[in-house]
Formats: sequence, C-alpha cells, structure tokens
Amino acid sequence: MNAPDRYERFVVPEGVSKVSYERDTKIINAASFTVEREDHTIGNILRMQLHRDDNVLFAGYKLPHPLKYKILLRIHTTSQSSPMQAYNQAIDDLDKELDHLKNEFETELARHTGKMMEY
Amino acid sequence: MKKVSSGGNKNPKPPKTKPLGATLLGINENDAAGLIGGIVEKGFSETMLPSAPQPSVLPFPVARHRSHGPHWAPKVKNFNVNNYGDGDDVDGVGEREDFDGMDLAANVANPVPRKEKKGLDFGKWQEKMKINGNSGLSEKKKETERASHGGHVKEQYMTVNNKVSAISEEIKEQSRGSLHSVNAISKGTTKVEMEHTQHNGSCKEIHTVSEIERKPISHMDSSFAARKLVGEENGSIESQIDSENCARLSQMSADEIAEAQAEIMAKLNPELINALKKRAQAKVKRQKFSDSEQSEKNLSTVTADSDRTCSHDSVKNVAGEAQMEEGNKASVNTSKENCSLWDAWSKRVESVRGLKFSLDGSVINSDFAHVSDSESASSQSGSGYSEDNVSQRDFLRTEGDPGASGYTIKEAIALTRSVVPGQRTLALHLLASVLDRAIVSICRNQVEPEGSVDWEAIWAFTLGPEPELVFSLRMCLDDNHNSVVHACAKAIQCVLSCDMNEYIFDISEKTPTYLGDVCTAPVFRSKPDINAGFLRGGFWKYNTKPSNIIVSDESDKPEGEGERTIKDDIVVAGQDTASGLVRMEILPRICHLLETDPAVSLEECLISILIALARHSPECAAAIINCERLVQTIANRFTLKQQTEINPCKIKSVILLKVLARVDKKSCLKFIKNGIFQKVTWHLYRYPLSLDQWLKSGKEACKLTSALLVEQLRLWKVCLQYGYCISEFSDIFTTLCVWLSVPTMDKLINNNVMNEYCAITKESYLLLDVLAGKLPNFYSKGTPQDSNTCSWSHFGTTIDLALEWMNVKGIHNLQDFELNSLLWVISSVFNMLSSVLKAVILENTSSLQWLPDFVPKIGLQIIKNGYLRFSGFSENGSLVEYLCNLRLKSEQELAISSTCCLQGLVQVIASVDKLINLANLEPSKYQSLSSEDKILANGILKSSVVEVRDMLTSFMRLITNEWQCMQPIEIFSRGGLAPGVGVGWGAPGGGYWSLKTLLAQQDTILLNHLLQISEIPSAIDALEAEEVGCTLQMINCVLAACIIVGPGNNSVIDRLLSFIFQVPVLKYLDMGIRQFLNIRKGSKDFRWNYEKDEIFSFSNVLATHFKNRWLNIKKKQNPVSQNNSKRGRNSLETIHEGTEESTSLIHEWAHQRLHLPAHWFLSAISTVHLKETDMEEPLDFLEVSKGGLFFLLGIEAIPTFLTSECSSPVQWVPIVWKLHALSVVLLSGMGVLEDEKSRDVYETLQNVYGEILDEKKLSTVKSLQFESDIHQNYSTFIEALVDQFAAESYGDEVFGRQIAIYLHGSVEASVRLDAWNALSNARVLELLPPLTKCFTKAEGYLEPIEDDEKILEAYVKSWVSGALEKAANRGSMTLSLVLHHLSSFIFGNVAGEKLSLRNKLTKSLLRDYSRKQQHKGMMVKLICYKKHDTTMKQPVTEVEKRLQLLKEICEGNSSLVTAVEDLESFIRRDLN
Repeated sequence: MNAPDRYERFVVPEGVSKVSYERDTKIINAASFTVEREDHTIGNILRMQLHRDDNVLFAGYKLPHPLKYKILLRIHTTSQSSPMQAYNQAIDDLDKELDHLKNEFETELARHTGKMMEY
Repeated sequence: MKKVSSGGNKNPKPPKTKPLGATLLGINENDAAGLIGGIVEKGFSETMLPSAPQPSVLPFPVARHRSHGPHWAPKVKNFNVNNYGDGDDVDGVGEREDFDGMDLAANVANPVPRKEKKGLDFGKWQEKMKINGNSGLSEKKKETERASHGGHVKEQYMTVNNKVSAISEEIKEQSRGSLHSVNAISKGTTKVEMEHTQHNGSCKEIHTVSEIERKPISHMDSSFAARKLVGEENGSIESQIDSENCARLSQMSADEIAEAQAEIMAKLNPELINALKKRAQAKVKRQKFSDSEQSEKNLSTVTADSDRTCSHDSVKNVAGEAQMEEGNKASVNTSKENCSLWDAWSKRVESVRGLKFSLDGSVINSDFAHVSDSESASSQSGSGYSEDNVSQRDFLRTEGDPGASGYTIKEAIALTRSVVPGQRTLALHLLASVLDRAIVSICRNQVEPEGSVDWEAIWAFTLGPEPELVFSLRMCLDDNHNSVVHACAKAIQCVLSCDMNEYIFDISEKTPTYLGDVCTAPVFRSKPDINAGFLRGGFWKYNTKPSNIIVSDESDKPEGEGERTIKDDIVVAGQDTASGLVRMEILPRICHLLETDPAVSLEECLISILIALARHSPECAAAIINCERLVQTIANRFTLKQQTEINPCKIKSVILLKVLARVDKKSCLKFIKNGIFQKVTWHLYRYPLSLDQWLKSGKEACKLTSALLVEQLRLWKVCLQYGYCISEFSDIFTTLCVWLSVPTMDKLINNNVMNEYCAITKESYLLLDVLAGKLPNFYSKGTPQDSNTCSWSHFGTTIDLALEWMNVKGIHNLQDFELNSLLWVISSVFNMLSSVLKAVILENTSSLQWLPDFVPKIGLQIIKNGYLRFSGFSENGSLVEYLCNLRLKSEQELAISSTCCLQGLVQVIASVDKLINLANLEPSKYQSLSSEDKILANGILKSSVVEVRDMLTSFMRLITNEWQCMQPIEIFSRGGLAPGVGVGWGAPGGGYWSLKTLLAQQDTILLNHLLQISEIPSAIDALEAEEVGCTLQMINCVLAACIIVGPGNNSVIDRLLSFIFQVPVLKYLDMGIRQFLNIRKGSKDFRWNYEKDEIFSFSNVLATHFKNRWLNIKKKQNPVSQNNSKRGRNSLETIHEGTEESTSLIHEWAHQRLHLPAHWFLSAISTVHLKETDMEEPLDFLEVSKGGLFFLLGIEAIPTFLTSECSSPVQWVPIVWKLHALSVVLLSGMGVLEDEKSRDVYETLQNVYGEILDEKKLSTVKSLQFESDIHQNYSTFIEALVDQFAAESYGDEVFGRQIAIYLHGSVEASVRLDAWNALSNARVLELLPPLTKCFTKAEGYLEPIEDDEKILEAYVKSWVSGALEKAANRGSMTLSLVLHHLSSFIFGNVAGEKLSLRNKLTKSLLRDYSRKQQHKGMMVKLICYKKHDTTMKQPVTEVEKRLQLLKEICEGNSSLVTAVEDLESFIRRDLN
C-alpha cells in the first residue's frame, strides 16, 4: 500500500533534470552522473559501452536503492578525454548501434514478409 | 544385539544349561544378531558339527525368565558350508584345519607356552582356564607388555568390513590349491595378526584386519577365541569373510603361511605390531580376570559393586592407556585447527559410543567396542528392542560377572528398562557414577589439562540426543521400586550437575559484589548477519524455546497443531536436558514423591533436582511455583519433623526458596504472605544463643546450623533486596549481633569451627550491606517516609563491631582455610562500610558541614592496621601486598576471597578520601596532628600512590593472561559442547561455570575500581615514552577485561568502555600510533595530526557506539505496547516499563550479548550502514568508521609497547577477521577513503596485516578461510563488495588492494573463485593494482601453483571473453596471476586427470587466438613467461619446447596448428 506509484519509475518529476553532472573534487577527469528514472537497463549498457572506450579508465554505475528510480554513473577518463565527452560519445555510439540494429532488423523483417507475400 | 554377544565374549565358558550333545549349529551371523544370549560365542563354533541335522529353530539356553521373549528364531542357512566344500574330512578335521596353519607362524608371533590338550573335556574346562590364567603365561604376557609399553600408536578401530576383505584377497593369492592337514602340530599357541595399515597424512590409523589366536585349551575354546578376536561381534559380513579367511588359511601349507606372514610383517610398522600384541594380551588378561571372578554372581546387590570393581583396577589401568592416547590426541587436534573443530569434536564424541564403563564409572576398555553399522542402526533410537526381543535386553549379562566387562552408555540406558529391578538399579547407578566422574573431571581439567579419559566427550555423548538419557531417566522415576527411584533421582542429580553448580554458586554468592544468580540454561548465539558485518556475538538465545518447556494443555491448543508426542519431548531433551525433564512433567512426580514421605536421602536428591531446575531459567522456576502443592509440600516438610533438628533437606529447602524468590519478586511476596518465609527462617528469631552454647553442640551440629543460618540469611537478603520486611529487620537484629562481634579466635580454632562461625558472620554483614543500601541519606532530616528505607539506628553498633574485624594483626599465622574464611568476613565488612559511606556522600555537593565521626575512625583503622604502606611508615610489608601475594599464589577460593577483600578496601578508601576531601579541612589546622591523622587529611590514596600503582600493575598482568578462559564458551554455534546446565553446559573446564572464570571476573571488578581512582595524566605535558607505554598497557588490559565480564555485569563494561574512550586515553593512543610508525621500517609518518575536537568527537562517537552495540538488551516483543506507542503514550506502557526493572534478581544469558566476543572492537568498522535504510543508531556512521579505524590502529600498535609476558587480545584475534572488517567498512561507502586521514590509517592497517600475512605464509598456513571462519555465504558478501568497487571506486588503489587480497594464495579456493568471477563479470579485472603495489608480497599470490580446476577454467574464461585485455595495458595483478598460473599449469608437469584439463584449456586459448589477433601479445607473454623475479627471457630451447608442446596438444587440428605456427614465427622474429 505504501508502494510508490508506477509512473514514478519513468516520469521525471518537474524541475529535475534527466541527467545531472558532478565533477569529482579529488580526481582529475572524473565525474559522476545522476540519471533520473532509469535503472539497470540503461546503466549496464552504458557502462559496457564506456568500457569499450580506451580513454575511459573507470566506468561504473549503481542503483542506490531499488525504490529510488535513478542511477549513479561514475566515469574517470584519461587526459585525452573528459567524462562528459566519454559519456556523450558512449551515448552517440549506442544510438548508432541501436539504429543499426533496428535497421537490420527491419530490412530482415521486410525481406521475410516480402517472401511471405510471394507465397 | 551387540551387547549380548560382546557380553558373552568376555566370559568364555560353556553354557551350563546346554548339554554337550545338544545340536550345534552353524548359524549365519545375520541370524545370530537376532538371537538371544550370544549362544554362538559361548564357545561353540559353528564349524564344530557342520553336518549336524539342521532344525528350523534354535533353542535358547537361558530361557529362565518370565518375560516370554522369542527364544526361538527361524534358522536361515549355514554359511559355513563353503568351508568344507572341498569334500575333505568334514567332521572335526575341518575345524582343526582352520587353525593348524597358524602354528607355523608361531615363530613370528609372540610365543606363548604350550599346553597339552587331549580332547574335549568340558567338565574340567573351568579349572583349566584358571590354571592357564595363573600360569607362567601371564608373566610372559606382562613382559611383552612392558616391552611394548612405549609405543605410541593411535589406534582407531573401525568396522572391520573393508579391511578384512582386503587382507583376504592377499591371502587368497598365496593359498591356491594346496590343502594341508596339519593335525600333528595342532598343539601350541600361535597368534597371527594381519593388519592392513593405512598411512593417512599425519594421522595413522590401524585397521585391524583380523587376528587369529589359538589358545591351548581346547578346540572348542580356540575356535571361540579366534572367532572372538576376528571381530565376530561386528556382525555378519565380517564373520563370513573371516570364515572364508579361515578356510583359506586352512588350505595353505605351513610354508605358504610363513611366507605370507613374513610379507605382511615386513609391510608393517614394528610399533604397530607391538601395540597390537599388547592389545591381544590385554584381552587375555581380562579374560583371566573375569574367569577368576566367576563365582561372584551377586548381580542385584549393587551396594557391593565397589568392592568388586576394585579388583578390576589392573584391568582398568591397562584399559586406560589406550584410551588416554586417543583422547589426548583428539583434544590436541581440536585446539589447533579452527575449521575442522567440529569434525574433531564429533569424532571425539563418536568414540564414546564404544566405551565401556564399570560400575564405579571408570572406563574399562574400548577393545571390544567395535560397533558395526548394522548394530548401531538397530539401536539407533535407543530403543531397538521390540516386543519380540525384549528378553534379549533383560538377559543382558545375567550370566557370569555382569560388571566385569562393563557397559556402554547405550547398553546401560537400555538396561534401565529391564524388567528386573536389580538391573535397573544397577544401570542407573552406573550412569550416575559415569556422569559424576565426568563432571568432576571436567572441572578438574582446568587445573591439569591432561585428563586421562576424554570426559568432556563422554559427558556430551551421554547427554546428547542419541542415547535419550533424559527420557529413560524420566521413565525410571515413575518406577514402583524404591531403590530404582532413588538411583534414578541420583542419576538425574548428576545429569543436572547439581553439586558442582551449587558449589560454584555458593562461592560466587560469597563475593560481596554478587549481583544475582545467572541462569544456567544452555544458550547459543543468534546467527551473525550481514548488517553487523557477519561479526559474531549476537544476542544469546535459549537452546529450547521457553514455550517448549511447559506444554499447555490439549484443550488450549489450536486444532491444527499435531498432538504432542514423546518424540517432541525427546527433541527438547536433546537440546536442553533440564527443560526436557520439566517438559516430561517431572515436577508433579517429584511433588508426589515428596508427599509420600520419602527417605531423607531421596528427599535431599529431589530437592537438589528442584534447585537445579529453578536455577535453569525463569520459565522453569515459574513452573515450579505453579506446580500444584509442590512448594507448599516442601514448606510443610520443613516444619513437619522435629523443629530443632537440622538436616541437609532443610538447608536445601531454604536454598530452593531463595532461588525461587530471586527469580521473581511476586513469588517472594507470595512466600512472605502465606507464611512460608517466616516458617523457614524461624531459627533466626530464636532467643540468641551464646557462642559457648553453640560450641557445645558439637562440630557436626555447628556445621549444620551454620549452613542453615547462612541460607536463611540469604533468603532474608533477597527479601531486603526487593524492599520487603525492612521494618521487621529489628526482630532478627538481636540474633545477628551475636555473630557480628569478633569472637576469641583460639576457641574457634580449637573447636575447629572457624569456618562455620565466619560463614554466619560474613553472611550477616552481607545482609547489613544490603540494608545499608536502603539507608536514607545521612544528612536528610526527619524520619524515613516510607517502609522501603531503614533507619541509621542499627548501624551505630554495627560499625563499631565491624571496625573490630578490621584489626588483622594475627592474620599471618592462620592456616589457609581459616584465613580464607576470615578474609571473606573482612571483605563483607569492607563492603558494608563502603555502602554506609556511600549513604553519607551527598550527590552534587562540593562540601560538607560536618563529618560523622565514624568516617575518620574507619580511615584511621585502615592506616593503623597497616593495610597500606605509607611513605612515612616503614613497616615490613603492607596487608595489600600480602593479599596480592595470596591472590597470586593460593588456590582459587582463597585467591577469590583476597581479591574481594582488596575490592572492598579500595572502595572504602576511595569513599573515605572523598568524604574527607569534601569536609574541607583547613591545612593549617592539622600541622600539629599525629602522622596518622596527617595521612588521613592528605588523602589515603595520595599517600600510598606507589602501593596502589603496584597493585594495579600486578592485577593488569594477571588479567592480560587470564582472558582466554572465556573464549572456548562459544566454540560451536549452538549449545556449546553439551546441552547440560551450568557446569555441564559446553565449554571445556566448566567454561563460564568455573572458579577460574569467577576469579577472573573478580579481578576485573577490582581493576575497574582501581581504574576509577587512578588518573590518566593529561597527555599534553607528559610525552615520555614510559608514560605512554604504561597507559597503553592499561588499555590493553581493559580490552582483555572487557572480554572476561559475563552476563549481568553490564555496568562494569560500561565503566570500562568509558575509561577507554576518554579523551586523554585516546590521545595516548594517538601518540602510540606515532611511535609505532617511527619504529616500523618503511612506513611514513602521517603528515597530519588529529585535532583536539576530532579526538573529542571520536571519544563521544565510539563510546556511544560500543555501548549501544554490545550492552543493549533485547526487548521482548510486546505487540500491545507497540500498538500503544503508535497511538500515543498512555499509562499502560509506562507500567510495563516500570515493572521490568525490579521483578527479578537474576541475570539471563539470553536476550543480551555479554560476554563479548574476542573481536568485539571491530564492531565500529564492521557494521554496514546502508545509507538508505538508516537504523536506530542516530550516530554519524562515517565518524564511527573513522574513529573505529583510528582505534583499531591504536590498539594494533599496543603490542610494540608490551613486555613479552603480556598477551594482547588484539593480536589473538585471527587476521582473517581483521581483513574482513576492513572490507566491510568499504561496503557502506567510500567515505572512509575519501578522508585523507582515515585513508592513511586504512592503508597503514593494510600494511600491518600484510606483514602478518607474509609471516604466516612462510609457515604455509591457510590463514584466510573466509568462508569457513566468517560466514558460509561469504560469496554474497564478495559480490556486494566487488559491485561496490565497480560502481563507485574510480579504481581506487587502496580499495583495489583490499579486493586483491581475496585472490591471495592463502584464501580458500571457493572464495578466490567467487572473487575472480565477480571481478570478471563486473569487468573490473584491470582496476586491481599491480602485484608490487599489493600489501602482501607477490609470492603470496603466486606461490602455490594453482591446481584448482575451476579457478583455472575461470582464468581461461576471462581471457577468452576479453575481460583481461585492458589489464594487459595497465599491468594489473590479475594478468600477472593468470599468466603465472596458466603457464605454470600448461607447461609444468601435468599428469593423470589434469592432462585432459590442460589440453582443453590450451585449445580454447589457441582457438581464441585464432579468432582474436589482438590477444597475440598476451599469448606471446604466456608462452615466454618466466617467473617475474628473473628479468632474463626464457632460454630459446625452453620456448621451443613449449611451442612443441602446444603443437602436440593441437592434435592435428589445422586451424589450431596454424595459430601455433603463427605464434612461432612471431616469437622467432622477436627472439632474433
């Protein structure tokens, strides 16, 4: 009965930005991102994408609490890059990759349905 | 049943009931096991008349009993047919053949004088046995025995099944064909022993295979002996195999046998042979004994038991030795290995199963105690007797001398259900004496750790769930034979270890600081959970749920629940003997027995049992109170008999009432209201008798009066503590006054009643002490308002009398026990004075207007009597010194009493000083005073600083060596070692329930007093090393003292903790750390200092944390009050809280956490504070963790300042716990590492522990057993930790080092695997630091080459999945690990099963390489790998060899071969 409403999981509250950025005070080129209303779905894929980046020294995320619908992402990069840059690039790359996946899927689907139509 | 057959074994004589001509049958052992009386081994071999007609039933020779058991059992088959299948002379010859071959082996076996034997002559058999026993034979035996005496062999006799088969095969090979008749040499004795030895690590087990012994008595007898030794009693398979062996042997020629023997002997260790020979001789010897005592058959006269068993002494001695060796070794093993502790223990307990006990409770011998699986299974439930074979049980050794061979525990318990009352009594006596001996030995253990027999295990086995002892005892209590009931009551008394407990309680009650009884019920700690970092030391819980003790009536039960069964009772009794008894409704039965006017001794027993039950737990005490008529009956019996006569029953009744009253305030009130209290204490109101009158009554009477009066006074004390009867105190005060004054000591000593007199005096003063606690403040004017306070009027005379006692001039001339009783009086006097003085001190006042004149009087008395050495006085030695000496050198009780004396003295001195200080005397006034007065005015303590300091140091030294005694209490999670109560509960040496512990606790209390009066010099001005060392030693001592304190002493711990966490003490710790860092090589000093306010905050935060963590008491879940609190506070709740305080004077183990576990100081950093789920603690977690780290480093630094004789409890805590705690602190966040100071501290701690680990590594100990030492679900913890590392750490180096430790070589394989997998899955392998940056040496990670299949596979999996790619770039230790272990494994010496694994791993690596060219560098490194310490490259030949090996592994798979060739060309290019 005390469970939060379902929409809480994905509707970003007003006045709160989707992603917030906070630089680490002690380590250079390190920062933490808070992504609101996301969970392991995004967290894991983003982290693994960041791991592919050679300039990224550390990338990790955590879901602070199962009922707090946000993830904390921490990135540490070499001096050639910056956390923000790495983050953006990871998102872009993921975007492209997913687009590609979608296109491939659709063409394949079209091919298949085309075949089906022939019969 | 084994009991039957083995019993028969020991008394080898022909069954008289059986005529010679009776049919002798070859009986399959399967049947024999089901048969009665062990006919088979009565001396008639089944081989004798193999061709005899085979009837379908077997007559039972001893069917003389009214219980109509099945004396007829169906016969199944003759298994001996095989033996004679060769078709030779079947009749008679075959039988001889069995053993003829043995004769030739005589030159190898121990020779025994031959004896002429012409034929079967049963008539003279008995005589012959006697002659044989007394002839030179036995001398020879003794000689050989002496010769083989020195051999230390640990013998473990196991079921013979497997071993016999092994040896029989051996023999079979050599015995092909030839059948040899060796009738001619059938005279003489041979003994062939064949063993199959197994060297298993360090532990040597001898599996006795078979022994065939030929005795020169008769064919019949020899066959019997052989059969016996072969282990015929062990069940069917063995005997079948044995008969097969015999047949084989009979077929072998003499030469063949000699050859075989020589071969076997050559294989054997001569020591073993000696030991076995000795064993065989012991058997013969015992046989002799039992034979010679054949005539004594007075089975039912148990009273004569002791006489008979005396004659067995020699047997016992022989028996004891083997036993001793076994026991000792087992116990040594347990103390060493932590992880296999439980296994070692259960082995010890299991070995008790076969022990046989004589009637006086001593172990007889375990030689015949083989218990085969089948037998133990049949007697599994302890009631393996069905209706059908009940007679088997009852005829248990009615033949011959029943006590000679002894009984095992289970046999004895079975015998308690015999239909013959005499046997029941006998069994109960035996049980009682075994238990009695066990408990006495357990207690004695603490003095001399080398007990001869493993009594702890015996105790545990007997009380354990398997024999169902409690159940049998409860049934026997319902017996209608008085002797049985009496014996049963005695046995129950022993089970509850009544006497021992009473002894301990009595002494602890003598101590003036006694706070109340501690419940004796067995308890265990609740399981550690992750929120507390798996730290042990949760709340204690009762072994049995209180609700299980008293079962509500059937009507109360909800329908759904099953009916209450006996099985439930037995389960409960297995968890906790006492509550099992209560559950089985022992109380109504006892009540009934008491009502039937039992004999005095039985009554005493019964009341002792009741006392033990009342001490068990509040629930049991309540059950006694609630049991109808029980208490009333006891009270009535108290007054029923002659009033003036005092007997032990009366004393015990008073004890019982006292215990019951202590448990519950309500019962106390009930006793007062219904007059029981007055009834049982009327002796106190009698007209006071003078000392002379008392003395005239004689020593015995004095003893009884003294004991009774003491208990009555204690009962009074309970009432006063509750605040009842204070107004009636003046009634008994006149009587008390007789005892309060100092008598003429000579008179007492001459009459030898010093002890008795002093006991009463001491108790009176203790009573007055309680009364003094109820005094209104001295300065408050007017009459006491309520009845809860008493008036000062009693104390005028009392104090004067007390001062007399303080004159102790002649104390040095007294004997020990007199001194002891005198010291008890003095300690109680001091305590009373201290209570009186406390009533004078006003709270929150800075000065007093006037001083009552008894205050300086007390002070002067102390000074004049030379209690302390003052600078002005130069007396020889002070009393304090004398008492300290007594503490160090005397036996325990005297040591306790002298410690108590010192406690009282210190308290009184402190109070006097305080009062005089408050009185504000003007210094100018006392210039003219005498020197004694001057000392008083200056403050006694100030004038004797040296003395007090000395006392403190000597006690600190004591305590730092004493704390270990508390540790064994919780070796095992549930119930300790045995489910007994009090002394019998768990721990070795009585554990908590021993004088040793009591003494340690008294020392702690004294230390506490001393610390209160000694000041810590403020750290700022005193920077001398000596001062620092001294304070650190004090801290060390307090840490040890905290571990000693048991339940109920919360206030002591509280004060000790307050002491440690004072700001000045922490400052000393800080200084200690700095000096420690200076001394240590290679560690840099911190570049910062802890500021004043930081230390202040640590002091606050740590004190609160530790007190909350360890001293809080589990609140009983009360749903009503919870609801109330939700609705808002109302009156109900406050009543609930208010009553909780004072309803009881006892302390329970359950619902609290004391005593502290050894690693309690880790709790500050080992508590997981999940940020989101805040717990009740309102503290700043981060601050607690920081403080905890600082404190930990501080106390780790202490040992460098200690002298070698002091042991530090911090060092004693295993390193695995400390490393684990360091990990836990990271689980709740990175806060600790983000702070610069605590990061440095953390790093230093890692380095310190790393060094310890490196040292340990040298001795090749697997020291980091996270899973078995800390928690079985450790993998979950590691996953959480790695997740934390992967999510938040930014690859922090210190964090990485901490994680890396889980990959260390001394960590158990499963944890290493879990850690690796977690790291690999989280893709953070590359984040771990290089090997050089880990806090232990690199060898630790690399040294034992990994051979765990799963870990190697995990390595390859990570390699293939690409998780290691980055690690290569970053030089992480993970890649070094993988390269090292994989290359050592693949290119090392692999053989056997590992070969396929190697090929598999190599192939997958190559396959991976052929797909992913980026792994080329790694592959090359793998092939060219050489141990990291050599910078040179591998010699070319070696690399060539490796490449060749790779090619071989490819097995012609083309793609793999090309991969190898590719690598080869690359490497060649590289090399060139």
